[in-house]
Amino acid sequence: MKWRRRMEEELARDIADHLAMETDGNIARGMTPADARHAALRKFGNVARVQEDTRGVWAWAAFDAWRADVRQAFRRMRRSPGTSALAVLSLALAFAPSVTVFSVMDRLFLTPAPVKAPREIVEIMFRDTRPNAVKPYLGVSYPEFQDFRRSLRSFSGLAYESRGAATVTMNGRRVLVGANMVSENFFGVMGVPMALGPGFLQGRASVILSHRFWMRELAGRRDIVGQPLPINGQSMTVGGVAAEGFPSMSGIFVPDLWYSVEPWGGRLAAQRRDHRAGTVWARLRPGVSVEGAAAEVNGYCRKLAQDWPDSNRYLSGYTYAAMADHERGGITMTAMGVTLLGILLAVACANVAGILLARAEERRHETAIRQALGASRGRLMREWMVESAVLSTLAAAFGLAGARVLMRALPGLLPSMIIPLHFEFSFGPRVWLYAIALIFAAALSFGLVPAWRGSRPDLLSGLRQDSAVSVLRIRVPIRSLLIVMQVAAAEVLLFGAGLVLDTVSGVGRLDPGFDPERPVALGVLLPTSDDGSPRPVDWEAVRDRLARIGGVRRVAYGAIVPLSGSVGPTLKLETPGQEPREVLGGSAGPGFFSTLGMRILSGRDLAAGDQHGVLVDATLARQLDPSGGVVGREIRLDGAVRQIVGVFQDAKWETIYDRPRPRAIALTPARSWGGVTFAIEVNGDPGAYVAALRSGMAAAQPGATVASAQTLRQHYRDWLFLERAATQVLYGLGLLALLLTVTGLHGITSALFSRRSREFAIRLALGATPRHIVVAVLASGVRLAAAGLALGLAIAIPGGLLLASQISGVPAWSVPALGLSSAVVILAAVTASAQPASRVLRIQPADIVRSE
Amino acid sequence: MSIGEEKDRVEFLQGTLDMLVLRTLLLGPAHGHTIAHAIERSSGDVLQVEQGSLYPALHRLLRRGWIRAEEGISENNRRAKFYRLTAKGRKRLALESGKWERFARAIARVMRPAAQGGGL
Repeated sequence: MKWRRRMEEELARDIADHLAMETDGNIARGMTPADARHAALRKFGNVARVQEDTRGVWAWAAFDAWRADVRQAFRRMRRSPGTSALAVLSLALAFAPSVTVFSVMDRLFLTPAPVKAPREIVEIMFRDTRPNAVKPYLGVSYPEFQDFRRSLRSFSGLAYESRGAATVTMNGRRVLVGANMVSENFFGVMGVPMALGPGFLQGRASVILSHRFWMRELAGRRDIVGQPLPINGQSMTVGGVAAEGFPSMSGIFVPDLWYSVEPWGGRLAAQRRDHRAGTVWARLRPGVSVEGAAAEVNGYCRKLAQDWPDSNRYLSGYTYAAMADHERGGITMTAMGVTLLGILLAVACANVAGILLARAEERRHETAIRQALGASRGRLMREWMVESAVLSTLAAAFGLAGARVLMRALPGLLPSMIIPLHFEFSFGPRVWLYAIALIFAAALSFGLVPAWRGSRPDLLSGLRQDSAVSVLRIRVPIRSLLIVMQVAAAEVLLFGAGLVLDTVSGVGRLDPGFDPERPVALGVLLPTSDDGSPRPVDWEAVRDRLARIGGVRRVAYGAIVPLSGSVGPTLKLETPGQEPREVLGGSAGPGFFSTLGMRILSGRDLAAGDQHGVLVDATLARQLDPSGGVVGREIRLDGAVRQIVGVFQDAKWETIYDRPRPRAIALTPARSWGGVTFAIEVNGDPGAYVAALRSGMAAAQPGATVASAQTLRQHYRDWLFLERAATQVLYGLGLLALLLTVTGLHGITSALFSRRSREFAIRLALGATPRHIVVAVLASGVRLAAAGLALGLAIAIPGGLLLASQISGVPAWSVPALGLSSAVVILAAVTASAQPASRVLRIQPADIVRSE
Repeated sequence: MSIGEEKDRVEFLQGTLDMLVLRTLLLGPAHGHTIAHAIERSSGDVLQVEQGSLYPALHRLLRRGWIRAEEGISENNRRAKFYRLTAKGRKRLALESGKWERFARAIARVMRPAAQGGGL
């Protein structure tokens, strides 16, 4: 604005000089000074208007031509509001999901956690080398971590992390959060700076908060450092707040805080070598490769196996570059996503290009005249490009608004977890960059062809035929080519969606081992006292209380639930004449499995008083005795003799993809320290009982923490969330592409019809039946669709192979996916051509021929 | 751009004033006042510039880089802004003059077809 003021001052001085000179001249010619001044002003004209006109030259002249073009573009769009709206809508429909999906991927995959040199970080775990190991990969216990830390030379630092949950009490409110127990050097090894505070206080019970938690629950209060914070009832001192963005959001389990393991290192659980609840993060020394480090770890594991044969005999090391792998995976996912979105955008662009091309044809007359009058080709092309840019910008505005709505809605669609996920999606700088790139790519791609064609100086020849290109020496109208590509793209997306759906429906057909349709609600209760510290709770008392809720038929509780994301404990099984081996364990209260609809194959469910009884699953029963008669047999589990009371069906415990593994279930003690899940079986809709279950659990044991409450069906659905979401997104994109294709196809068949209506009229007059002509119009649409389908399949089938190689569980080939997508595409093509074709029936030959 | 008060004055065609300004500056740098008078004088007072309208034109030419402004001292010892033709402006003037001559000839042919013995 300084520049502007200087210009103003100079202009004023220039005008004053001018008037002074003119006045001087007039005086020299003999006028009185007053008259001379008047005459000069008269001759000069209106000073204010001159200043205004001059200002106009400064401010706008540079943009004058562009502004005129933009105005012109708007005027043209207003003149054909229908097609303009269609073009803007097409693009906006592609923009909104593109930006939304990209923002999610940006958040999950492209936002690096503030970890120093993440490629140097490896994660160390154990691998069980036995072929039938119940847990092929194992964590590391705290004593083992200390051994590693003392002995391994490949690393400049090793840190321990054990995932978990804890209750935090703030202002009298207790919340359940993700809380990881880590060694004090954790942040040092990771190279994660503190946003606030000094970090862990050596040897003292201290806690580091995640930036997200600090902002969310403590409103970013800076005086929190040094304050006590009760975690699980233990007062811990806040040592600091970790840097923003650590850890990245892509893990399923994102902790809210970390507390140091050292003050608790003497505890019994921490001292047990087989309590493998943790993982080891290590930073490679400069010059050491991942392979070199892995070799050292494996060598050390062999030594551990000799020193501790009971716990480590079969364990080898598993060392991998966790962060680099994660980063690579994220980039692959993002690349696939961007490609998919690009296909959708290409379909939308093809639509808009079709519309603009049609307009270019309509405007040929105008273009010809303007060229005759001397408009340069560059000038005409610029007009077209500006029109494309205006369309694209308008669409982007709508698209971004749509994306905002979608992003706001997204967190609500995520499944409810015991520890709440706090996802928030927003427009980061990369998302803006992506959106702007989309706008430019779109404007360029659909703007160039019509601009080139529309400004082409083929004044006379152009009047008679469509814009066309040569493909294999056949003249193909560009708009038809666009439709072929659109159909192909829609087919690719639908086929891909079909493949994923095939996987998901396959997953949906997998038996989870319980009946999600039973009228059951589940509630998770953690045994805590008022201050959040652990305290054994009398489960039977809670059960009695819940049983009194009206409409509740049956109440049961158990410490292990199918599809809970955890495998459960391992137990040592000893059978006479056989090597001791590991099986999976767990515990359930009386009637718990029956309440969940898990089938008891023989014998009976656990009942009250079954202190020495045990349930085994079908896999373990088969292993114990292939002929099946195991009920009543005694087995030794972790040194205690148990009698098998029944056999239950195999179930999916960790995820729906679990393979069957032997498992034995004992009775949950009536009072215990671990959390349990209550199941209530009700009359009617279980959803109506969720609130009552929650309040009932809270009221029965004041102080106990109610972690979650939902229906059994919801529990099941939440565990299939990712699969369902992937299918829905893909199908959404595919259908959107199809919708855009249909409008494009409709447009082109309509245009074809209008152009040939005279021919049709004459043919009708000469005696052709309308049916012939309807078929001809329909056929032209279907021919295009068929060509597109062929092209689409040519891309989709190798694409399917690629997809299958990238995502495990997705088939490369599926007949239903192929058949369904092809049928939908052809059906859509017929529908799109049907309306223009039906217009043939309304042709009045006389009218049309006369109007020519 | 300019208002002809009498019948024998012609109105400026779009862009013509720009060309006249460039033509005037071909003789050497000048102040706005000098340019206005030069145009009037050299057209035999047929083209009378409303002097103010010169300034938007000058600034348009400045923006296009056809002329340059510099500080100087006028003949009657006043400090004033002088406008000087640039190389780009010189080239432009040559182009415009050629165009103008062709245009004038064409108009003349249209207006007096018989005398020239031909049409367009």
